Amino acid sequence: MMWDTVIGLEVHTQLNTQSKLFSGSSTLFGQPANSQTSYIDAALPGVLPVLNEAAVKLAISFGLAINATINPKSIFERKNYFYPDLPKGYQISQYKEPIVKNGSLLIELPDNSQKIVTIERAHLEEDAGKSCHESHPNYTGIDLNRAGTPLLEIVTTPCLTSDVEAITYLKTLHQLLRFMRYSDANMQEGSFRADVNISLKPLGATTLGTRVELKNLNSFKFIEKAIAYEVERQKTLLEEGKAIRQETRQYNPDKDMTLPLRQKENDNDYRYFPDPDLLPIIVTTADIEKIKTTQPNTPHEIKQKLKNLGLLDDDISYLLADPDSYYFYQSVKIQSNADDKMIVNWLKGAYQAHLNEHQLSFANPPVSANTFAELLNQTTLSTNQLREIFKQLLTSDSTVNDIIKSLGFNESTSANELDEAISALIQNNPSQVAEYRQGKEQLLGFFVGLIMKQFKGKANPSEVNARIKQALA
Amino acid sequence: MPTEHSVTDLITLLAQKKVSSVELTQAYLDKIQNLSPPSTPDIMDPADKPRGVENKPRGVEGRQPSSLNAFIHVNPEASLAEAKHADSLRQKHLHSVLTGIPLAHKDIFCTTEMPTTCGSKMLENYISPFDATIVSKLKQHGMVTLGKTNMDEFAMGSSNENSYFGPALNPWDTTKVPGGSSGGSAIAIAAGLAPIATGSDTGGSVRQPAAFCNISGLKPTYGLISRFGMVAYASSLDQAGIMGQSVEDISYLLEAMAGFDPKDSTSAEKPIPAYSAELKNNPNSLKIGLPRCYFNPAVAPAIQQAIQEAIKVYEGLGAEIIELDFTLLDLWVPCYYVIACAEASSNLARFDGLRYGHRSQNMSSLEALITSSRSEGFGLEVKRRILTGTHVLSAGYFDAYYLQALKIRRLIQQEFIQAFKKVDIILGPTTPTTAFTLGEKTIDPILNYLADIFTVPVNLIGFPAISIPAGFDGPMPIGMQLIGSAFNETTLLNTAHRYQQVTDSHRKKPGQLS
Amino acid sequence: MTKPLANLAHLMRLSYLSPHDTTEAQLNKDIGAIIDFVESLKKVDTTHITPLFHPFDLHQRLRCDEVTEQDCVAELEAIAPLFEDGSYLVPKVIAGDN
Repeated sequence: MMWDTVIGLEVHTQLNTQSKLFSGSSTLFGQPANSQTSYIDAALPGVLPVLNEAAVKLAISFGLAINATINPKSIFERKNYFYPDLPKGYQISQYKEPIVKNGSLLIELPDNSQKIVTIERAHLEEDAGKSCHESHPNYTGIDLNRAGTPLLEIVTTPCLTSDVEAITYLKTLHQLLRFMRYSDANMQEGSFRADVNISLKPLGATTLGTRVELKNLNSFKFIEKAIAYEVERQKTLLEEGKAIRQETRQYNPDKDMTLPLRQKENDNDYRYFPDPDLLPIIVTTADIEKIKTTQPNTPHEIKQKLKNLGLLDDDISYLLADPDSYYFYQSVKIQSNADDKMIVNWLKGAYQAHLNEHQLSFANPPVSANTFAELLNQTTLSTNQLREIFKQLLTSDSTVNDIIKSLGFNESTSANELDEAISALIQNNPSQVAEYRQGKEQLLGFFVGLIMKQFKGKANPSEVNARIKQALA
Repeated sequence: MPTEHSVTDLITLLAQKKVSSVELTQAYLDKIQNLSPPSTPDIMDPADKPRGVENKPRGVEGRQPSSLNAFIHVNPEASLAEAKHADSLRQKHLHSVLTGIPLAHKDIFCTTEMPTTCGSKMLENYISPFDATIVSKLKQHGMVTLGKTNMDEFAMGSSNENSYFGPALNPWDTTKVPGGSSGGSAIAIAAGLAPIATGSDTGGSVRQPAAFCNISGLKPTYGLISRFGMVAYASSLDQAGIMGQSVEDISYLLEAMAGFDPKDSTSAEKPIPAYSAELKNNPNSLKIGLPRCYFNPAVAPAIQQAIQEAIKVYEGLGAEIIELDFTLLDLWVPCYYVIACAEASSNLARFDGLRYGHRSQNMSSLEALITSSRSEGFGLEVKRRILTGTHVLSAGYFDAYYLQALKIRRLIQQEFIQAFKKVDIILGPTTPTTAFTLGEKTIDPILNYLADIFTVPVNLIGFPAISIPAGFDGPMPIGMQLIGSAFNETTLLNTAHRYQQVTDSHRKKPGQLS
Repeated sequence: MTKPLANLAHLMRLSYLSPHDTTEAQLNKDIGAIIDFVESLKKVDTTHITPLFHPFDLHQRLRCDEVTEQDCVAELEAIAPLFEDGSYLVPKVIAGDN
């Protein structure tokens, strides 16, 4: 029997705001427990929520990036249930009227085919706190620092048909979120969480099968494995004529299998209703137009731009792997006359090598884009000279000009000096000159080498090359 | 007697230095100790209270039976310190009109100097780390907090019999209820234990006790006064209210309390008029609406009579009386209870014993801990309303009850909006009967609910309303309710004030108390 | 005659309540009476009527995205029943038990 796999994905991503969705607490990651828990976050009696403007703008911007409809009136609703990491006893979320609906994302699969993934909705909601089960022998510790952080929940229709499609979509979405600066989307830190809804149906059937939800998937690798295991598990059960239980399961990486999460006999009834402490979010066309004016390019648009500039696929992949590298490149490009290829080569090469060695990144570049552009603008210097200067820039606070002076690179060999030296060279090496003129072109390198040696490297080899060529023409 | 003055008088007396805030505050504290000593120990230093230990109040059982039980907590040391500070502000000419005037806060408003219990065991020892916005505002004006007043638990009730700290007694007849849920504040004004007090009103909790105790009680337009720091019962219905001896007194407090608060998303961004000054302006014409359906057999004859007499007073003042028809009267109370219980069931979910408040000893499991803490901490009426609210929101019932109630709410509002096209004010009884006897309505909760019939629609529609004294049925006070249109407190207060200028029911005090 | 609620046990589970100082039977009776009382709402034809969630037709005001709250762990600890090393302590929860 042949089966179709049907997958829908729900991604929760933490939005890049300074403060929380409904309170003015900081959203910084990794701070001491409850140091970022305000009275509002702790749900003390009498507190009230007030909505963060930046979260709304980011949600709208995301909606525009996926060509979605921005709901002119969206509502916050309360999702009611009890859990220690949910201080109010309800989560403020959006249910019937989300802020974004009916969008799509184009993905490029490994076989170079394309697929449009339909995104049913994206809505704003607050994150819960964290439970720590290991810190105390007899108790669970609750840290509410994360409680109230703004999340955007992005839900696809069940339009994905394989683990490859699912992973490609997730990686594309991940890249979009990071490039547009909506989110750090760091899976390890929990700012990008994917839940997978998966069911099987007989090949070509129209009715969907019973759906299982997979949660707590902390890496793309785990997602891939979890989907693979789950497809097999469901296939086996269905082929044995058994029913699939609608449940939530989590992936166990040690056993490489999905296991059911403990569940109460009756499913929770969340009793959603509009939060009476909040009013409807109204978004006008003017609001949307304003956001459009500062809308950054999507990775897809960036890729097209870079292709048009003539950059190679490898270079484009490098730049699109990390928004910080891309934005660094952009920053250098604006301030420098160097061509794109040269900039990329430098970043991919010498700069990246240093970053890798010292476990740094372009998020906190050791040499600023400003300074780096200045470096690349020294067109009279050789690549080796530039490399020297770069090395020094990495380890000192000196400016490019200071380093040039200290290395003596500013004692630039004048054109006259060069021409004189070349004339002398031609006179002193008549046989090699004759051989060159008869066609032994590789002797050019020999001549360039002699001149460079004479000037102790303080000449631009391409310039020397050009001048000798001219002189011997 | 310093405790016999109105706020209006005190403003003059303090300005003329005929009395100091310290003298005033001490006089009120003495009277409270005399007539209404709280059953809880005086607060000394909150830091001295052992944390996590069940601190049984001297409590309901230990309460002096003669105590009116208007106050749950007092903190004489803190009050006198505030009074001293107020006097020094006045000396330095850094004062405002209200500086040095004592007041009582309903125990639903968060205060840092003494516990905020909401009349519940759940918050018996809870000390809020922040002040409610209105508490801060009044502190900034230099007012002096005398104490926190008794109330029905979490504002759920109309008699103050649902308080963990014991019922409060009506000073006009101590066998009768003062009304609720702001019973304590009403008693405080009626018995001269405070010149003015705050209350909260979700379905009539300021107006009904005002009517039962012969005082004036205002529920402003929804959103006019900040809800930040006022423990939520039903968020779309709750409003802070003011209870005092006269409309004039209330107008001073309203000016100080009203205004936009960025911490409350439902707070209205409206300019606040100088309500007290505007009392002097008399509108040229006044159209008063009288709903025909108010005069039904459920309303006591003496009350119907009092309203008719009030009509005559207004006619004498030049008002035109217009009869109104309301077709949805029978739906007002059920509509209110569905919405209030639904919102309350969610608002009270935060009380789980994990971060503050009462925590059970039952630590056998997380579920057991939360369930025991809540079941031990909440009284019966609170439990009833949470369960009712959970029911009307649950799958399969949501559309038929909750959503339906909200649709009917719109119909009710539409009827009132239509009415206000023809009239400036709607007049009628605040309650169908005068204060009932303690214990009379506790057996059947529905009886209690029906008593709110005239007050609940006002909260559903969000408009302002005030209850003022309008006569007596034997020894028991009768209250009359005036309803105004949204954000039109000026017309509402003026209309009520004009009645008080030519009548004297509001000046009468309970006879048996000196 | 009041119909008892079919689902009181479910409601108690959802709201984490137990009868405590009353009985389940009494609660059932009380809430049954309240639900009976509000049945009259069902008789009204509300087709084409939109629900009134808030008294006035307003929209949500937006707050500037800035950090305005400071560390208040000490204040939170002062009112907490069980708090250690910055965390609230609750009975052990089995991971994933939600």
